[in-house]
Amino acid sequence: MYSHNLMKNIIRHFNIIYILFLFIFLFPAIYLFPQERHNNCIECHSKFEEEETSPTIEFKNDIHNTSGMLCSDCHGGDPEINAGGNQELAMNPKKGYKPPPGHNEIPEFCARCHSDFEYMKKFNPNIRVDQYENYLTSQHGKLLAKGDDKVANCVSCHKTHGIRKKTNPASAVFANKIPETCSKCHSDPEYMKEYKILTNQLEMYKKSVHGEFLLEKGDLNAPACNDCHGNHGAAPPGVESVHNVCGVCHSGNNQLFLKSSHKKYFDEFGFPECASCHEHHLIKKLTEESLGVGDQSVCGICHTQEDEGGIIAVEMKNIIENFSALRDTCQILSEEVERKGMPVNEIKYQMNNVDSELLKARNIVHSFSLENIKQITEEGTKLAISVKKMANDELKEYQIRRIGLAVSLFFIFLAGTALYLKIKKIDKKNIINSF
Amino acid sequence: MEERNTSRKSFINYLLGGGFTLVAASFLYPIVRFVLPPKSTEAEPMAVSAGKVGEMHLNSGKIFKFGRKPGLLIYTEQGEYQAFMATCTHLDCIVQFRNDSESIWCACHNGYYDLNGNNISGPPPRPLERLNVFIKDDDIMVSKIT
Repeated sequence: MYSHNLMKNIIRHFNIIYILFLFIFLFPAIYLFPQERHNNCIECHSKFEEEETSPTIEFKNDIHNTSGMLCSDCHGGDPEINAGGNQELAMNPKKGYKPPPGHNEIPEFCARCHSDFEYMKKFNPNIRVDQYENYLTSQHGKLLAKGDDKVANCVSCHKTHGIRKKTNPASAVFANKIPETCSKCHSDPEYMKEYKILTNQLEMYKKSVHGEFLLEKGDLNAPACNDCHGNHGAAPPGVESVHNVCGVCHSGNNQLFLKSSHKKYFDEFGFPECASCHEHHLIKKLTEESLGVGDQSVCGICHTQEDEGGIIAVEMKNIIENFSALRDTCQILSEEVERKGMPVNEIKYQMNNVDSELLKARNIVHSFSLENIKQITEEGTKLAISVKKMANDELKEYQIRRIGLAVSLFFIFLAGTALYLKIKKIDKKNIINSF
Repeated sequence: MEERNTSRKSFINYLLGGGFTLVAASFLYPIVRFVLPPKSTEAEPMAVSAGKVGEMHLNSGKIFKFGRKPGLLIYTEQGEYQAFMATCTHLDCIVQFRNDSESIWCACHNGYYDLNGNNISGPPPRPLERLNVFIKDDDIMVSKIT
């Protein structure tokens, strides 16, 4: 009886229970699963002329869009209002809308978020927020502060609405795109005219050992413009900083140079250290020809055949050239041994050591110490001589085998002839006996 | 006349016997060479012995021959074996273990790798090629990772 009354009450108050159910369970769900924010800006701007539609197209793959941001997060206004084409409602200054920033306002505009770690860490807890600070110290930033509206700002490199992560190969600042991106301005003589700086950097860089690795061999670890000049703080390294900049990767050479007798004189004469011999954007891979005082020599820029440095440079050249020639002989012999099908593993294995010693000898040149070079090349020469002997022994063994084969063939021929004569004789004897 | 015939007959017999002996020798020689093992293996090895268990101290390394290339075996402070191809990924110099910095070092251009073979400083652009290490009887065997 009691349960029957209860059922009747539930049915009578069903509407109230239903509303309560919705309120308790579904209302919080709206907050737990927020709906996608509506972006009316894209809807309207995609109908306009080309100038307005291009941002909407580019923005599709923009990192800000893929991170869930709307146009209004940068430009303000109300993208969710159903303005029905009334731009005054959507782009209402009262709702925070600001017209697109001018060229010189862009760095500060981007920095509103990109310098705010509290905000940026939501997207990446390890993100850097010092780009704007660095930019202000850059040559670009300094000129921009003086009112120059031609210098690069954020969008010059990152694009305006098609910004991608630097690790995205489609990004204009992806490792192997950087030289082209910088050269958009820096290789344009007309654009760069008033700055009175060279415009052949890209041309030189493409010929450099760094350019060869990055652009031809696709080695993304090879340095591009930003690795020497900095990213947002881009500036030419001062003469006194060159060894530090190159030393970031070439620390061994840097240490040798710093301890060398040359450091003092380079400082005294204001020579740009590494770049004095390797040049800056061309970054030449120097060879033995660069030593000594010949036409191709870099030592010859300062030294003559008569001065002490020149005499040492010539001796260095001779020592390394002799070792290098011996190494090449070993290489040719080892290839010949391999071509003739003789055992070559041990020779090839030892060639690794010879090659290592040659590289060390070339590297120790940065100490400009004849003693050091002699020490390394002596060890290498001993190794190379033993490799040469091994290769020559194998080639001798090959000759012995060839002669052995010739002798063996001769005896086979002789045995065949004897067999023929024997058969002929037996045949002859049989014919006589048959008579 | 009879004597001349006998001498000719015996000459042919000697020639025949000698010839066959040498032919047999030329056949046997390569067989013997085949049966006896060569001084070194020529083919790319699948696995080599890089050393004996117990011969290395903790926090030490040694270079071993892996076919035509050098390999580096490291016995870490934690008592683990790690092996890599010992050619630097910069310009193919031979790298070595540094127990002072517990790292792998290339003397040519001062490149450093950590004990997992990752390039950590200097010019090396890539990690070292890692090799597989396993113990078989008393041997520390090293093979390519396939």
